[in-house]
Amino acid sequence: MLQQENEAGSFIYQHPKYKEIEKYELRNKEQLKAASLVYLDLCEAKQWWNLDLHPCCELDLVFISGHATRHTPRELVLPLPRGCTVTPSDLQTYLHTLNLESYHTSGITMAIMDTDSTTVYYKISDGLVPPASPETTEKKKLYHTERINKRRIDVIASVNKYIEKKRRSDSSNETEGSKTEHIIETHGTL
Amino acid sequence: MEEQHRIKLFVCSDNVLVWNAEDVSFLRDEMRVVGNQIGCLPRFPRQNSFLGLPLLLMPEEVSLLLNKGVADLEKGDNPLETPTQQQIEEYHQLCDESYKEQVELFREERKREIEQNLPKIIDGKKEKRRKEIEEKKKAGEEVDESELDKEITIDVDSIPIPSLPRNHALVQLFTESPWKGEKSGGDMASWNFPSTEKEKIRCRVFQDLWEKGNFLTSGAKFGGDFLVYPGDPGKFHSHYVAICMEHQKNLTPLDLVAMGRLGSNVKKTVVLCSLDQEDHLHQSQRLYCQLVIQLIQPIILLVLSADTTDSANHNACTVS
Repeated sequence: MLQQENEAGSFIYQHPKYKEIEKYELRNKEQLKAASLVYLDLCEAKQWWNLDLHPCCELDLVFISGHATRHTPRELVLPLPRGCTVTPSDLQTYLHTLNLESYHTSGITMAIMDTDSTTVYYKISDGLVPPASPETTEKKKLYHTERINKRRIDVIASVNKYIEKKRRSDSSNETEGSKTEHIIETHGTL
Repeated sequence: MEEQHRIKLFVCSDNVLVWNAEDVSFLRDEMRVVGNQIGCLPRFPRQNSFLGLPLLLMPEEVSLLLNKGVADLEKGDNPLETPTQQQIEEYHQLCDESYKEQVELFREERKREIEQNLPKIIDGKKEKRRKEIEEKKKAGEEVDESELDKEITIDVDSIPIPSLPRNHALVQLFTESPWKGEKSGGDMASWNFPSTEKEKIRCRVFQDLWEKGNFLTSGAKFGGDFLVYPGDPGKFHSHYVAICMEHQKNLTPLDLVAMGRLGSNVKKTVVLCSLDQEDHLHQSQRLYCQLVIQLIQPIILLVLSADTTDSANHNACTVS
């Protein structure tokens, strides 16, 4: 386990993105490591768009910005390693200090990373944010179910297509006579 | 409310209670103070899912009402004084008057009932007459057949209605002393809430959220300090769970995750509330003037479940 961690650690220390972060000359190494892992998670697992790394020398940390999908606005992600502690006043400072020059963003998504690189994302916002209206949540639900249904229909369609194709090839084989039986048998055993 | 409606709050061994039903509805409708009904309903004493007066108030609610100047705090745990002879007489007179009124109402009600059932009663009478005639026929007596077709009329007013027995009459039970006003200026109770730092934060947060037009109730059931409702709790679900804490309280990221989980489980947004102690020199009431509210909202799309561990590592490996 330890060896694995070391390996992963050594790997991330070799990664070009980590090297890039190292150039910012920040002292908080834990946070740098978390930042590069979160960057990879967003980039490779979550498939975010146009990710960028930003150093904040004032607070001695790195944060990430990117689009969750192609059409959603840019969001800020603040990697927090498990070992750190934050106070409500820290959170307030983050909310007020971290921003991009060219984009207006609301709130920060905290990426809380455990030592095994399990990451959980939570959003914090400054001030009360009223929940979405019932209509919007209804729409979202509908969109979600539609997407699932579409996927299911696609699967069924491709299964049918496959069966159809198989049948066609089988029937063409049958015309060849007794040879096919042997083939079908081998198919069965396969 | 023209001449400043002032509500009496009674302090009974550190609990603040409201005994007057009108006051309770005023608090809820006008002041957005909900409280907690803790009394047994007199007509349904063997259940505790529906409760009645008195209304128990949270200390924050009491402080708010006192600040707004709509309530007076009185000592409520003094033993009741023995009533004077005059009061006893007045009480008996009141009971008599109420009994007389009830007898009148009872008679009217009874009359209305009879009127409603008049067709049935007439049918019954006709049936009875028919049977009597048939029996007479069997006995071989001379019978006037035309009597069967005669209509029966009943004059409701002529039916004697017995009066309501005294022991069936309703008796009013007072939740608050009916002699109020006479004994104004009862013993005023002192109120020293909030006294600790935690209480001050709670009190200030309560007041701020209340002033934003919300209804607040205790959040103990949901793992927070307050539940914040956009309207009357009877009609709305609460939007937020407010958790009060010191501005410099150390939180680990796991605490944040726990709060986020709590929020998504109960389908509410967790609000972290703390007071920004912005200036030490201001040793006045405005020391805690700026309220900072931060909000944690789970983004459901992004929440990684706990068993998808090592995803970043795994991906990192594939990249290399």
